[in-house]
Amino acid sequence: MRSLPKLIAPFLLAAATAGAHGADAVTPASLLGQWRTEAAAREPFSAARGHQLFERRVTDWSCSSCHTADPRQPGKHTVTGKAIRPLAPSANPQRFSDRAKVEKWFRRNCRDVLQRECTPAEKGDLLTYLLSLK
Amino acid sequence: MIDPRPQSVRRRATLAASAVLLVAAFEVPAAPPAAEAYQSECGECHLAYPPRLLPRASWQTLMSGLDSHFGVDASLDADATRAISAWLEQSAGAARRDRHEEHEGREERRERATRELQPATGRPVLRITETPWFRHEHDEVSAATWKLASIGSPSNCGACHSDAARGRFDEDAIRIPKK
Repeated sequence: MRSLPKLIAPFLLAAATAGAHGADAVTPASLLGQWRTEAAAREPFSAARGHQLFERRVTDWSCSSCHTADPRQPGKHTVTGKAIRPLAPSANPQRFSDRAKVEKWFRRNCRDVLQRECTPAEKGDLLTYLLSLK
Repeated sequence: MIDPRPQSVRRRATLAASAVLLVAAFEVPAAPPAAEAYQSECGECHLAYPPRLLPRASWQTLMSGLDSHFGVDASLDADATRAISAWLEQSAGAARRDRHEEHEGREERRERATRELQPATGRPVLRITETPWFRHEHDEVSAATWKLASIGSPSNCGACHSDAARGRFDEDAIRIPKK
C-alpha cells in the first residue's frame, strides 16, 4: 500500500543515521577547529610540518613504521603483523570520525613514537598532512 | 497526503506494531558489553585471545600494565580498563586443575603438569605461548615452522587455526601453511 513507505521511512532514516550522530562523532574539520583553539597559535597548521612529524623517529618507530610512507595505503603492525586500514581520510572516510578513538590512538602512538603526548598543534599539523593526500 | 479515515489509521497502526514485533523477534541476544569491548579494544592489534587461555593472575598483571604492553602503549580509559579487567578475571582459565594429587602416579603428575596454564614456580606467565599447556599442544611444531613468513610467531594463532577469531581451535580446522 502506498502509505507504507511514508510510515517506515522515518524509522529507517533514524536507524541509518544513529551511528553517525553519537556524542563522540566528529569530522576532520571539527577536530582541526578544536585543536586550533587548544593550540592558540597564530600561524595555520602545516602539512609539511605534519609530514616531517609523521616520519620522525625518536627511538625505534615512526608513524610510517606501521602506517607506511604513503598513508593512503593499508599498513601493518610491525610486531603482530595485523593489517591496518589506510589512515588518510581520502582512502578511508571512517578515519577521524570518532573523537574517543582519535584521542586514544594519538595518546598511545605519540607516547610510543615521540615518548610523550602530541601537542594540539602537532595533531593539527598531522591531520592537515593526512588531508593533503588525495 | 496521509489518509485520515479511521479504518486507514487502524491499518497503519497495525502495520507499525507488526514491524516492531518482527524486529524484536529477530533480535539476537547481545554479548555482555565487556565481552564486546574486549573483542573490539584488544582485537585491534592482535587476536583477542580467549580469556580461558590464561589464569586470573596473568590477566590482572596484564591489565594493570597496559601502558607498557609488551613494549607498546595499549592503555585504555579507566572505565574500559575496569570493565574489561573484571570480565577477563571472571572468564579466566583455572591456573591449576583440581586433581586428587595423592592418588596420582609420577607419570600422571608429569602429564598433568604439561597441561597447566601456570608453571609450577615463578610469577604469573604473561604469554599464552609460554604456558605449559600451549607448549604441550604445540610440541610437534618445529622452530622453523614458527618462522615461516605467513606465520611469523606462535602468537599468530589465525595463521594455522582458521576459526581462531571465534575462539575455536579444533584439530580438524587446522591448516599449517608451507611458507
